[in-house]
Amino acid sequence: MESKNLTNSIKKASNEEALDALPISICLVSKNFSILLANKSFLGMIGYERPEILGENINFLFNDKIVADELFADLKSKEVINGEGVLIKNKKGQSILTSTIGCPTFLGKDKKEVANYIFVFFQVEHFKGLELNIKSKVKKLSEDTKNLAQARKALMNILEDADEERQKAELERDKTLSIINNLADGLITIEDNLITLINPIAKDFFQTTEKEVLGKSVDELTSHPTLRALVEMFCEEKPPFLRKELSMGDSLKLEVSAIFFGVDKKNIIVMLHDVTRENFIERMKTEFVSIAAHQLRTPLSAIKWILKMFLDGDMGDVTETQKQFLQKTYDSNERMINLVNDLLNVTKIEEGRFLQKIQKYDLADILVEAVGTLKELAEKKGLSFNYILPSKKLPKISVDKEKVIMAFQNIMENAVFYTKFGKINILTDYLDPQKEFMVRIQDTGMGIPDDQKVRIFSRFFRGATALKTETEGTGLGLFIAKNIIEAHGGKIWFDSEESKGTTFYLTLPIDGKEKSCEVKN
Amino acid sequence: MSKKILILEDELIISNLLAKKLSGVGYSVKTAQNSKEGMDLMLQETPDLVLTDVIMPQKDGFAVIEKMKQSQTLKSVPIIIISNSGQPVEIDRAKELGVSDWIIKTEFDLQEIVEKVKNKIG
Repeated sequence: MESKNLTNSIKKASNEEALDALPISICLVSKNFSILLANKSFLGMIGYERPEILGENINFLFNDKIVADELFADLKSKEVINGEGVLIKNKKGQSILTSTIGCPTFLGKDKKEVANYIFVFFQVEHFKGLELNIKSKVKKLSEDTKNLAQARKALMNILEDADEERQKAELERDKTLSIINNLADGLITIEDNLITLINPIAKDFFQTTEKEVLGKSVDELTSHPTLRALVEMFCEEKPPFLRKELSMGDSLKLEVSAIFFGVDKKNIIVMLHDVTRENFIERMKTEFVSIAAHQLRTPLSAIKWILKMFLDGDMGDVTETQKQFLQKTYDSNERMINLVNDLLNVTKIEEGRFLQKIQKYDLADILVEAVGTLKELAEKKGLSFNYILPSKKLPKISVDKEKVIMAFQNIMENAVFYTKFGKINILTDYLDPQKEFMVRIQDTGMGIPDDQKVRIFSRFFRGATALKTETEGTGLGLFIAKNIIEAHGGKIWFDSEESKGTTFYLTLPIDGKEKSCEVKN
Repeated sequence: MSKKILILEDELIISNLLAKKLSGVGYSVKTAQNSKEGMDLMLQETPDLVLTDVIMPQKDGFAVIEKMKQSQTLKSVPIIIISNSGQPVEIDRAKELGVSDWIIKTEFDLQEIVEKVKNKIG
């Protein structure tokens, strides 16, 4: 009997152990619903220790006694309770919603007599947790899907933008190409010493083809019959330039402009502008002025001579009044002669053949000759005219004497003409005993208004105040003076204050600039 | 006997004025309007001085001077050039041909020209 009990005890113990291992809450109750067995999961759910509940009627665990009685009644009538929603109360008095399964166990095989009842409880919160988990996963998934859709949309937008950009770039490239190809000017690009582009006009200019030129180096093309002259301008030993004229025989003159770009400015865009016609017109204009001026000299000489003969009494006696009018006419004619001379000088400057005979002269002699009768004229006007020499002997300079005298004279004449009171000083200084000499021509005259300062060296420009005071003057004197001084490698500038006076500064290099002077005969 | 001067100048007004002024001071003046006429006159009657323009129809003044220099009778006749132009190149060319007197018309009075002539031939 004891051994049977022991065997039962062992069986029970091993059953309990097996039940404890299950993750579902199981409880075995007797026919009168007192708890016989409860597994660990069940104890965990209700929060009681095993000894506390064994032998107790299970109904104390049910929240609602009516529900419990209904369950028990069902079980008593041998029905199986399948997943009934039942509230269980744990030790702390908290309600736990469970899905409860209940079923009777029977004695014997005929299942007539009930032995015990088994309860299995599933905690609904677990499902809820699962459900929640799934819900959140679904939510996350849908969010992810949404994000993905957005990302896709963004990507599509980017792709569309990129495509648009590409189209724009293509359009821009087409535009640039058609500009280059239809330019009225020739265009060639040189990159890393290789010709990378030549437009149709440039091909025409040099009677060449892309095949002949593209990808060739500048050095290779030095043997090309027409391009030779151009590429030689870009050979490495030649200094870089911005604008130069290139003669392609008699019929074509090009203005070559170079635009340097890229690292070390090694790449070049070469623009070729056809200046054949411009040059022709310019030459015609200059020639016209030159011929017109020469033609004017004959009648002007005749008038001069005739008037002089009248004034000298060669044509018979003239009254004092007649003489005065004749003198005025003579003076006006002299002004016309001066204008013609100035016009001729301007045409010579424009033709680049202004400077003629460069020789060494004593600057002192040049200045004395330039002052000439001006001192007398100034003193007649009541001005003091001072010619101040430096203590050191004046240098010899290599110049076109006549022209330099003309330049000094033009400035000095202005000083005398446009000064009513005060003095005129001619001051001479060495700027650098070896290199540069400066002549200053100071006056206490009307000065140059600020707004006209930038224009006074322009052709035919005459200051407004100058016009009011002296009707005489061609507006060419300062233009000519500037050109003469600069052609000799010198500089000319001025300081001026209205109603106070003007100082002109003229510098000349002492060793002369024979090489840089454009001496064309 | 007065000294003979030939004026070679295509502009009538200029040659007339010069002729009037120079004859006024006692010179015997003849005028020619082109280089051919001038050469003919010179060869007929050797002048004591020639006043010539350099820019003229037909041959220019330089060609006349060259011809004069080749001629035995005319090569030592003094020449004064009167011109509207006065480029140093032209002046140099004249000097090469042995003519150092160059007068730009507008720059001189008739009296000054007379003085130049007087200096040359008295």
